[in-house]
Amino acid sequence: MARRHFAHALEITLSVLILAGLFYVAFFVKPAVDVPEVRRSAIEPRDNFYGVAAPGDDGAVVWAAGRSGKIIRSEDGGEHWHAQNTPVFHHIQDIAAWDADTAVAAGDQGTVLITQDGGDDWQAVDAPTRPRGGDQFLRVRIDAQGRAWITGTMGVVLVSDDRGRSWRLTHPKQDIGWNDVTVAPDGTVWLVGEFGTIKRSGDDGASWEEVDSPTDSSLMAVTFRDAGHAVAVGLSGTVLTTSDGGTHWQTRKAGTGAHLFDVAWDGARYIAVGNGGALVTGNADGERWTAGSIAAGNFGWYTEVTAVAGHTYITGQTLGTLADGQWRAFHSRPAPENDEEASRNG
Amino acid sequence: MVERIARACIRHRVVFMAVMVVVTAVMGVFATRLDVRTIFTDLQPAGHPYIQTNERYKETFGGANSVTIMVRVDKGDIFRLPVLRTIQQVTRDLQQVDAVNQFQIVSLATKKLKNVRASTYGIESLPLMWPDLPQDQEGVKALREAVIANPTVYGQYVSRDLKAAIITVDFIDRLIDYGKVYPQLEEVVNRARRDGLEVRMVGQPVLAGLVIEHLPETLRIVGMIVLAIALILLITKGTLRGMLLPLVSSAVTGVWVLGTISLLGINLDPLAVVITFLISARAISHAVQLNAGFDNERRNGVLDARRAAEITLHKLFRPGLLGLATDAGAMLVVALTPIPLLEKAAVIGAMWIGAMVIGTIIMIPVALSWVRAGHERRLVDVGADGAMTAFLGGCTRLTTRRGSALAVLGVALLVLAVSGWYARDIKVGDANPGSPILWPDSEYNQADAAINERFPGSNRMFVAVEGDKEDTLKRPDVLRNITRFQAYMEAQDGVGGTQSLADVIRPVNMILHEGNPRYFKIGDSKMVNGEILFIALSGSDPGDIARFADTKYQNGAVQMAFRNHQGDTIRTAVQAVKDFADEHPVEGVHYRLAGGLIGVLAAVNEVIFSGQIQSIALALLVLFTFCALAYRSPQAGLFFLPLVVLSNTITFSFMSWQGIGLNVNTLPVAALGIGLGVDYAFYIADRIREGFAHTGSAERSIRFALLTAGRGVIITAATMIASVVLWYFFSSLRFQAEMGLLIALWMSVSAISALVVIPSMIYLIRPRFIFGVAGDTAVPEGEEAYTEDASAGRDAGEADVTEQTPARAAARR
Repeated sequence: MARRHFAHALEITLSVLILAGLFYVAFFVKPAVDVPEVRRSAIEPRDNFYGVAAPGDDGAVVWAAGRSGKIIRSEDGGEHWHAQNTPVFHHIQDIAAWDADTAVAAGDQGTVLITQDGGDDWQAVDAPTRPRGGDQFLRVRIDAQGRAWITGTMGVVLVSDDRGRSWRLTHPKQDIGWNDVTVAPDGTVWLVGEFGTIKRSGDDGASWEEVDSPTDSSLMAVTFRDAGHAVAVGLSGTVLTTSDGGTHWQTRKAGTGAHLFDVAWDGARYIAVGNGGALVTGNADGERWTAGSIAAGNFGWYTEVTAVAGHTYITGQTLGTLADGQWRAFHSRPAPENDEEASRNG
Repeated sequence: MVERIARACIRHRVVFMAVMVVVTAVMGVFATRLDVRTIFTDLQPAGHPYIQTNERYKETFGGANSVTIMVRVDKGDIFRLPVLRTIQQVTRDLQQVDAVNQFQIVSLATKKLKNVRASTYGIESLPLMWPDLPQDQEGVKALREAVIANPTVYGQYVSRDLKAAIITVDFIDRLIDYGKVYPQLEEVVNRARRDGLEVRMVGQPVLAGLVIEHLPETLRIVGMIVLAIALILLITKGTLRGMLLPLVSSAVTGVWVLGTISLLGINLDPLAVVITFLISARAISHAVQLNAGFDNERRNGVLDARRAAEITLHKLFRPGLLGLATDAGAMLVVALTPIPLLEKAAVIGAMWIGAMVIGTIIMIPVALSWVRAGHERRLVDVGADGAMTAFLGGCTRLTTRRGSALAVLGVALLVLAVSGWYARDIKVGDANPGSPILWPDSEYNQADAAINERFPGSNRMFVAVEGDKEDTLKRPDVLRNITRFQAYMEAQDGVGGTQSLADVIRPVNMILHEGNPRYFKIGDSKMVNGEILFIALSGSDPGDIARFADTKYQNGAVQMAFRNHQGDTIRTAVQAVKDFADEHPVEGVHYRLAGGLIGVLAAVNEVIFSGQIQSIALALLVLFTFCALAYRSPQAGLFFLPLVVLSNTITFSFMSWQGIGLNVNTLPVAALGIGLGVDYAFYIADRIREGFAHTGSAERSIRFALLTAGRGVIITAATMIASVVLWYFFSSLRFQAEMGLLIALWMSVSAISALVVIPSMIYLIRPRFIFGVAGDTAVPEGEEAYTEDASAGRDAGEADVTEQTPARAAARR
């Protein structure tokens, strides 16, 4: 008898519990969406990197900077990348590095960033700008003496003697965009810019002298192979060369009408990159130029090329390397959490 | 009361049948006018915020009914006059297709794709290839360069390898009739196809059109299945009535319901054919039970057909009604998911099941009352009966021994645990790329893969960007935020690309700066962006930028292309939009989810997702309540719950194993199938109860139940399993094939539960609602023979099942 009562009680209890449970589930349980945290990739589809720097002798450490304040770094020649935190969301137009720890980046709206610890910490520093567009920095370079140079629009040329902490204007206001600055082995400072303008300074920027230019097309970049030989490239396939230290410049046939945005000397030849996937190479004396393509089917635009110890890094619409004539675009592989630390310490 | 109705119906059987015939004939007329078509809005949970966003903006930002047509060359690139002419021709032909939104056709050959360039006359903004094709080779070359230089075209409308181009077209939701539009689209595509030129299309209208195109095939398979059912019933039952009554009953109830929904103006979705099939399987199941019950009465000596019919009706009324009530309840729970398609399916299902109360449970016994004693002979006898008896004897022995019964329960619990574990993997939304309705190797899914491999994706979603005042979208901080948002979204898996007003501004800004990509960015002030937009849009229609912003630049859209519409992809993307909006707010701007196909699917999935657990809980509540009421015992409610849960977990684990996601098409099938688990169990349990009331022996009542109701279970299960697999072998629609398999699985699970698990449970637990209620109902005369029937015993040739009871003689008095 007792057993039956017990069973009865158990049954009622169970029924009530189950009913209550079902009611609860039916009216109060709201399932939540469990979305996995998306690991941000160092290189995202929309990224464009305008500048690339590879300090050191082996070309293993690489920085690239570009869209929306993004700076990425690789320790192994581009195999793995990780994104670094920056305090800005404007475009960064260029990056240059003294060594694997110390670097400077410059870009839109007067942005200048420096790091002393390999990019773990990027700090914004004040740099003089000019009103009405004089805060658009375009290029940053480091010369053999360790000075840093920034060029921009409205005739802006900045120089820093203290690894980017402080900057001063060295060029008077002028409605011209300076697209590149370089210091030749003899210490002469060279500027190229809009309307084919070329300027030089023999006194570290205190005074500037315009040099005759055979073109009206904007010049985008200039590079010196040695004190005597240099190449400047620009829009509409413009290639200028000099063999007398920059006193006289000659126009060369590039074999393409594409805009050329940068040129580098890799020890054996000049390499210029630009619009439409154009890759233009020139021999040592700058007389023969061959127009080609970065890769078949690559019609992207490329703003910079850097050649270090056999590594040729090219950046722009995509970021990659040219090894033995073969283009390889870098893709992002999200690095494991500790990878960053490990590779830095290692 | 049941008794009285039964007697009344059988007494006035001629009137009853005449009414049935008239009603069926009238409904039949209406049923022929049934509207079989897919209505897109049926898919949309109207109250969901995403749907409201879609409704508000779809005319300009692009809705869910869009088609992507890809033109692809074998060799070389598309920049050849004949290929360009084809693109132009397809674009023009599309304007003639019904229900096309004329303002939402985009291709190289429309005005919308423009080239902004610097020239000696200043900055020009000219359509790339509109109104005319390039005149010569020079022009083609210029076009090619312009395309490559234009990021809103290159990679978006022309593939990066230049071998393919796409034409996208939007349809107006309220005008579209898939049955008409699809053949027209196909004609457009066929006209463009030729050697070396591949033309393929994807999109919701194409998919819906394909399903409609398969309707004749579907009906052919239905015909084959009906034939197969007839054949199997004939073999197993042996008699003409055994074959015809179940079919007639399901057909009659089907006609009533189809006639009713046609009268109510409800359309039948072509994919719902599977559901109608699943429901008519119920009619067959009940009809077979009634037939078997009738046979049983006659074998036990009730020779008067009218009397036997009355008794059958009386005895099977409760389990039959209970089965139908729980089915209808489970079906109606689906209607709580606020998607019109599901609501309609639920209403159709519930009505149909309701119709079976008259059209099956009452009509079959009435029809059986005409069977003349002694005049019946078997048309076919392949000894199926004997084999069944032997099998059922085996089931009896298995379930009426303590050890084996425990083993059965152990296995059942194990299956419950294992399937319960895997059931958690069920996906809401589509589980695989491409359309789950079609096979992965179908032409459509191949085209889908080909297009999504070369282009950012054919599945579109827009997120509305709502500003608080005019020109908000020109603000640099807003545009920069939008650009960051796009980058954030593009990092998500499955998002092929995004486009916004910023993508219109950036290239123009670059061109204004001598084509220098360092200026590939938005302008630094509202004014500069306004000027850039003015240049970009000079000489164009106001509608040309409508995909990205309204004319006041107050509200705009970020357009996203998805490579697939898998549930996971959509959920992740939607969550990402919410996360971004929370983490990066901009003053005066609000991101609003979400339009386009993906937006609609996101809403559908969210509704299904939040509703699925509730639906199951509610269905279980319905079952508990009905069982408890029918047997006047909460114990009965508890008793049947595990079976439904088992059926549920097995279904879900099968679906997750097969990669079938829970979506608007599969949900009603799954919901209805869940009720399938208990149908048979009611008949078995009721027979055991009936047997025990007379014999007082658990073993004997279980044997009695298995040999009567169990026989019906086997016949129904065998019939349905053997016929529904025809879907699998003959349907070109993957959805139907998979649902066929699913139905077969349910039939097997519920048959096994009813034949083995339920008797074992009853034997071991001895529930009071079965064994403790002897004599609580008035037992009609002539049904005291609670052992096996003589013929079965003879066929089986087994001594232990031919045991006679004293009641047998009494039955003949």
